[in-house]
This record gives sequence, C-alpha cells and structure tokens, in this order.
Amino acid sequence: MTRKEFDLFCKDAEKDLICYYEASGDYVLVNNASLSITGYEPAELIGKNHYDFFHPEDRKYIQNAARYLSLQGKTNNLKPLRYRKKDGTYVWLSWDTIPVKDENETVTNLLSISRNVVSKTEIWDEKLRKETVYDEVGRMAGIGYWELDLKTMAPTWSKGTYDLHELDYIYRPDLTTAINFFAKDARITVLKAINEAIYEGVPFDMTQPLITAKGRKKWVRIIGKPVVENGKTVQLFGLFQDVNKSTEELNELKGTVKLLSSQNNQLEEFNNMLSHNVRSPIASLSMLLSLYEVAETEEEKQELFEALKMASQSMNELLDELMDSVKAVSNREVESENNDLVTIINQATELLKGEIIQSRAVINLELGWEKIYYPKMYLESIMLNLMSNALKYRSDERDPVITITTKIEDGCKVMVFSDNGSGIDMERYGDKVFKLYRVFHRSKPGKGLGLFMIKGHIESMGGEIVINSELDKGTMFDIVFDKHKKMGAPL
Amino acid sequence: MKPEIICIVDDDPIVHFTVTKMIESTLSVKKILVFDDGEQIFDYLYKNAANKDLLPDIILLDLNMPYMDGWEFLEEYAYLKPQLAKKITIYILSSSVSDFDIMNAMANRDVTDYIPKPLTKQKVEELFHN
Repeated sequence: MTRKEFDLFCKDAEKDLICYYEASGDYVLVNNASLSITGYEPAELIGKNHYDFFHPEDRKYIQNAARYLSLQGKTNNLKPLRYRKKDGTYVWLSWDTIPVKDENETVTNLLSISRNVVSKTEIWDEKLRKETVYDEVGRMAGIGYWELDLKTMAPTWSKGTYDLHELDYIYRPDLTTAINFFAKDARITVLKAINEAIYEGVPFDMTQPLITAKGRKKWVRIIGKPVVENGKTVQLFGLFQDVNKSTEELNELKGTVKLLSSQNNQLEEFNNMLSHNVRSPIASLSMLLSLYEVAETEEEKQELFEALKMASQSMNELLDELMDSVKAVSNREVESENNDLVTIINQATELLKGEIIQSRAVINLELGWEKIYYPKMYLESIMLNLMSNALKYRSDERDPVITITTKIEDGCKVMVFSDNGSGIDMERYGDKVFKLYRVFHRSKPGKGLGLFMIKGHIESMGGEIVINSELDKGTMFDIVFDKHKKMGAPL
Repeated sequence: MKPEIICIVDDDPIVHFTVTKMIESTLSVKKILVFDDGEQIFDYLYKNAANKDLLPDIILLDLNMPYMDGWEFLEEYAYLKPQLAKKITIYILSSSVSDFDIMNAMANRDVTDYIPKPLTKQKVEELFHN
C-alpha cells in the first residue's frame, strides 16, 4: 500500500485510528486521528511496534489470538482492548484488522481500524441496553432489583420489582410504603433487617409474605447487601424474587409429609399393638387348651374351662376396641359439618352428669369462637374423652375445675382444655401419653384408648394436639384444629 | 440349678393362671409369685433387695404393661442390680413378634432369653431342667 492509497483509504475516517503496519507489528503508516486518540503524532508512531502499546494484560491476547488469525489471512474484529496513550493512560479501542497479501498470497502487512468505544453516547447506549437486558432477564426469572438511597432513604426499583408488586412503573415508593407492601407480621422483620444492614452492615436473605397492589398474597425472597466502607454502610441494594410457587409447594409438601409421618406412626403403633394385644389372648387360649388336654381331674378341667371363657370374652372386648381405634385412624368415612361447640359441650356434660355432680366439678367456658366446621363424631369424642379424663384423674384435694377456652391464633382455630387435676409426670411419661394402651394412674383404672383416639381424630384432620401437665397441679391440652391452614393460607 | 422362686410379671390375669399351671405341671418350685406390672415387681425387689430367701431366681417379664412396662423395668433394674443379694435370671415372656422388641430384648445384658408366647411345656422343661 502506497502513501497515496492509504490517504485515500483514510479520507472519510477522521474519528478512527487507522494503522498500516508490517506483519511484525512495525508501523508503516498512521493516519492523523492518532493525535486525538492516542496523543501521538503519526510520525512519532512510525517505526514503533504496534504490540508494544497494548496493556500488558491484553498483549498476550492480541499476540496469540488476533495476530495469529491475521497472519492466516483472516479478517478479525476484536473486543475493545487497552492501548497506551502518550500520557501513559490507556484508552479502550475496538480493533478491526485486515490482512494485506502480496501476489503469493502471503500476508506481508496488516491494516487496522480502531475506534474509541468510550464515547459518552455509546456508554449510555450500552448501559441502557444492559439495563433493558437485565430487566427483561429479571422479569423472566421473577427477579427485581432494588436499591436504597441512604441519604434520602428513597428506594429505587427495577421493572421486575414493580411487576412483583403488581404496580405501574410510574409509582414512586418511599421506604414506608415499600415496607407496607409486606404482610403485617413480616414488616417488623423486614424493617429490622434493613436497619441492621444500614447500621451494622449485616446482609440479609429471607422469604416473607408480600401483599401486592392488587391485594394478592405472595411469598417473596428479599436479599439485601450493604456495601461497607470504613465501617459505614455507603450503599444498600438487593434483589426481590418471586418464590410464591416454590414456597407454597414446599409448605404443601411439608404438610403432607407431616400428615404421612403421623399416619405412619399411628400405623406403627397399631402394628405394635396388634403384636402385643392381639397375639396375647390367642397365646393364652392356646396355653389353656394345652393345659386342658393334660388335665387329670374334673375339677381341674372345670377351672380351665372357666379360664377359657374369660379369655374368649376379653378377646371379644379387645376386638371391639380395635374397631374403634381403626375408625380413629382413618377419616374416610367422616364428613365435616357445621357444629356449635356449646351443644357439643352440653352433650358431654349431660353424659357425665353423675360424675360431675358427685365430684362437684365446675366447668368454665371462655369461648372466642363457637362454630366450627368439623366432623361431629370427632368433636363429640374429643370433648367426651377430655372431660371424662379430667373428671377421672381429678385431684383428691380439690374440687375439679375444667376450663375450656377457644381462640384464633395465626388464623387457626385453637381450643385449650385445662383442668386442676392430679396431672401426669411429663418427664417420665411425656412421650407416651398419646400411645395406645398406656395408663399412668394406678388408683384410677383406664384403658389407654381415649387420648390415642382423639389424637388420631385431630391429626387425620390436619390438626395438632399438645399436652402440658404438672404433677398435682393439672393438665392442659392445646388443640389446633386446622393447623394445616397456617402454612401458605391467604392472610 | 433348680429354681426355687419364680416371678411372673404380666398385666393379664389369664397369663398368671396359665403360666403358673404350666410351670407347676412341669417341675416343682417352692414358690411362684405374680405381679401385674413392672412397678409392682420393682417395689418387691427393692424392698427385699438384701433378703436372699425372698428374692426370685427367675423373672418372666412381659413387655407391654401399664404404669411401668418391661422396658422401663429393665432400665430401673440395671440400677438396682448391684444391691441385690441374689443373681436373678430374667426372661422376656411376650406375645410380641416384632423384630424391634426381640432385638432390643436380646441386646439387653440383663435379659437371658426371649420367649414368645404361648409358653409351652417343652420350653419350660428346656429352660429349667438344665
């Protein structure tokens, strides 16, 4: 390429740095743009080596990859690389390199056209483009960005964050309104986390319920990351992520797992009980029969015959009880209906009238709710069992006082049933109270069926029963009828 | 060694009756004592810990009983054992066929053997004659 050809080539390219150099990298011709872009006069560059001007970190790349391609005769354009200016600073230049060949198709020279990519409008375009991409990607993933200006305490949201709140992009949140989008119970937690991030530099990452502008409740993950400089938070930003679907699914799964494991436990207990209690009378029968076979006197035979009758009778009773406990474990046959708790309580007190009068028992009602949609049979069984237990295991030293309290806790219907009876040693029997055929009071006979049954009723309906007791003080049962509703339910 | 005193610990009176009969018809022992649950036998042992003549040679222990079951008794017994004036052999006599019960019984160092109900004449002979 002659000087003339080069000048012609450069004619309309005042903003581009155009260099013509030998395959070795030595400059042959440089256009006038070099002064404004690199600070060098073209004459100062000629004879110097192209590759010496690159930032040490970029040099390896351009020599190994780009130069190799060029020498293979391939045109290439490079991402912006740092080029050292006369004043020692670097400028980001993009590189288009064209190989120039001789008549033998050998690359003898290279021509590169470079553009300063860091012009203001280009940065702006690039920034906008990136923001749009981030926004789009974020929205696709249900993710939004947020930032808190620590001087004005004004939050800035990305489009994804607006979408998550179901808000128009023109809405301008302040910190209070932003926090008020969280469900009531979550606000303090979120505010606390933000405060800790600002004043102590502690990052946070939590999942909380949010109420959107359209009143929909959803679970969101909010991440906050403070940037701390010299012990002071100078910037706070983070992410919002819509995790409603996964959280709801997780909660549902948790509920199912709990129900299944409770049913599994009951089955295991049932199996255990079959092994102990059903095999036992059969073993007795077979022993009695073998004794009967070898009995010598009529008297002995008569005695064994009586025992056989007894054994068969106790087996009958056992089977009846078994049927009851099977019903307690499976809830297939029962249907919920609207019940009035007062009616249920009255029925139970009517059935236990004799004992109540005889023991001079007092029953207090503190009912925050009275209506409940639940299987009637279960409610009756729960009330009757708890009440008859409270009467049976009353203290010898005081008249029984039974208190039935109903209330709403976390949106669930709760009943607390407490007495001032003889209580149970929780340390010794705590884990066995609800087991089948467990009785704890020597003086008062029981079969150990009642609590097992009502626990079965309650858990099969997705509820929970917990006992608290102190010896000689009394016993308290906490029943949450619809515990399953607590998770993932609309607020 | 022929046992002199045998204790039957079971909450079922029919078991008291049948096991007593079965033992009496197989070998002669000085005394057979019956208890309804773990707590009763424990109280008896505790009270007579130093009295060699009243302590049993053998305990036939059921597992599933009210108040104090067989497992709870074994736990308490481990603490009482060093104070007992006599070496006592404990057999579990239970209707349970669950692996859990059998494994746990065999793993307990105070339990000599696990006998599933019903108890048979042969088993009694096998256990007490040698």
